[in-house]
Amino acid sequence: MNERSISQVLAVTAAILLGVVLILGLGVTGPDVIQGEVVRVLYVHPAVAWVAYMAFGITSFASVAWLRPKSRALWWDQVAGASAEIGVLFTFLALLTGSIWGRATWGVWWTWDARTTSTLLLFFLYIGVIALRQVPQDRDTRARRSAVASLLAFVNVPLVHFSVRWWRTLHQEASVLKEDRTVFGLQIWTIVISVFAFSLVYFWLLMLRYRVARWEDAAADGGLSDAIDARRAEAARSSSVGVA
Amino acid sequence: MSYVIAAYMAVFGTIGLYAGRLFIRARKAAAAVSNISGTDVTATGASDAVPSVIANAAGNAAGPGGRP
Repeated sequence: MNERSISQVLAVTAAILLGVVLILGLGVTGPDVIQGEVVRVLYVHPAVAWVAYMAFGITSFASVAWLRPKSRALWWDQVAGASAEIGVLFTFLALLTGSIWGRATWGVWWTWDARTTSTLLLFFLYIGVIALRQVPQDRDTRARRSAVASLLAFVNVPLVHFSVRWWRTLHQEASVLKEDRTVFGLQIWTIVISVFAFSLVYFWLLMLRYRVARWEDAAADGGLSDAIDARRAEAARSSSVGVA
Repeated sequence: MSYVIAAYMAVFGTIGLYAGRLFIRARKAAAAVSNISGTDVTATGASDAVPSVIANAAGNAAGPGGRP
């Protein structure tokens, strides 16, 4: 099975599961006793937040793999960059859906709560990582700087996750992964399918973004090669004119 | 319900826009690599051959001293 087939299987499976999430989330499940219709936002919000954590986890793994001399390879850096970018996208979606849910439930679009503030910090930290990758520099320097920056930024992920336990926050604690959970039956299944569906979307986007990174790096190398060839040809012409 | 619709549209719309942008970037990058290497990297299975295209390009970029 080649890369293209894997990508197609991921895309089709993710699309089917997202369709199931839409049917369950918007149609089959009923309104919540306390939250009413707004509970339906929670069928996508935890899933996109989970994918953001996972994306930054994979970025960190790839960064460590690049920093380790034995496993150092350009493709680890490309995977780290691709995953960081997708992580930023999903963090943005977590902030956006959280804000919409907060407006409907808390009555405000934003509050400087520990969870929301640390998530916003995470968003800006990884935007910094992406910005750092755009600075003109050679491949090794880019990889080293962004790997170190990614690992430093990842320190914030457990801070985001445990912020609801460590500080008194407006944001509720985990609803599914606790003993006295507050969601049941079809609600849990919709959340689980949603997490799985968005994880597949992440892997599909990662493959696509990684492919773009490989081709863009290859094009940049080829462009450099052409420029060097042109300069050599120019130098050879000038020396032959000088001899004549 | 309008908050719910807004949230779902935001999620699906943003992911869709991002994926669309990636497809456009992939097409442009593939065209650039194809121009340089003379190989159609968008052909079936060609994405698996890209590492060799990178290796060739990197090899070309490295001068006689082995440094670009």
